[in-house]
Amino acid sequence: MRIDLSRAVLADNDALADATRQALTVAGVLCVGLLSSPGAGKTTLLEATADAWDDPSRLAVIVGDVATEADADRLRRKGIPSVQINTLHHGATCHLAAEPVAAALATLELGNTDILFVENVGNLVCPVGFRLGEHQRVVLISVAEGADKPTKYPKAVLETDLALITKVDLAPYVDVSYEDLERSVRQVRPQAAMLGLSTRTGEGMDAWLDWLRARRAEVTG
Amino acid sequence: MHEYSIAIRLIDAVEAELDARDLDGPVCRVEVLVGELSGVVPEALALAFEAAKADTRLATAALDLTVEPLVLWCIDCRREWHAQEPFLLCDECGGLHVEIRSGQGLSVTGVDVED
Repeated sequence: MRIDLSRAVLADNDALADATRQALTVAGVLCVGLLSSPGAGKTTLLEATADAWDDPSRLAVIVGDVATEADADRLRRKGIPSVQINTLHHGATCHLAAEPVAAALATLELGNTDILFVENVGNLVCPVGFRLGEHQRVVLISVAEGADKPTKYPKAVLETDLALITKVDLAPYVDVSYEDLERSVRQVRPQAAMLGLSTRTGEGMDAWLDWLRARRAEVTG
Repeated sequence: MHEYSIAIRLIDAVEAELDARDLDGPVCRVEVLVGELSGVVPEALALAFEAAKADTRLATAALDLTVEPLVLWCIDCRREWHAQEPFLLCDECGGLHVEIRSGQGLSVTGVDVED
């Protein structure tokens, strides 16, 4: 017997992600997903964001790695309530999915939270298709990775809301500038929203914080 | 290599559809549409499906994969084309008003269940 179907393979994941996002909206919490290669500076960006935020305890982080509690420990030392997910125990090591994120969320007290960050496993391919409940998704690309990464991993640029170029202070040493990466991002998506920053020098941090505040205002109305 | 977790979700999705229809199976064939921009490699999904299907109602099922082409649409030219790369720029008019028409999806389009 033949049965016609029209069911997205990730329909269950997407439905749970939608429910998570709606619950966060009701709670007045902006959820920002961070995607990047390993080492682009996701955790360092969150540490710098904590330093600049009025009260870092009003931020929260769910962070995925294959193993160790290292990133959650770093963020807790900055005063951010953080939950570590080790993907080794969730059936797929290379990306987060909506279920473990929803379970981690249930362990966080979000009453006074402005922004929940979900820091994915470092990977520019596997996490892209798995929605987690984010209002906004940010892809981080450091100048040290080379100017061609946006065109080589186009889905990561197409399915995110902001391309954030990190470590711009290293541009003279790696011969790749913000402008080189801007050209590459715009080759994939000419109208992509973009920012550049360095957590080491502080360049660009104000624009990043303004972007966060503006996106939060959209959620809280 | 996220195709293994995709294969498990594919099997879960089919079993949920069977449950919704009170069907026990077994399933002998599953049709899946894989977009060129879905982020899934068909050959890797096929391999992962073979590993993941044991002890499910799809244990003897064949996987029938169809690739959905990546089709871009230029709003200015009112023209669509099969793109080799997902770059949102019109290769005729150079315009920036380009949308993805198809090729992002990953869906189960049908199953054959033994009567």
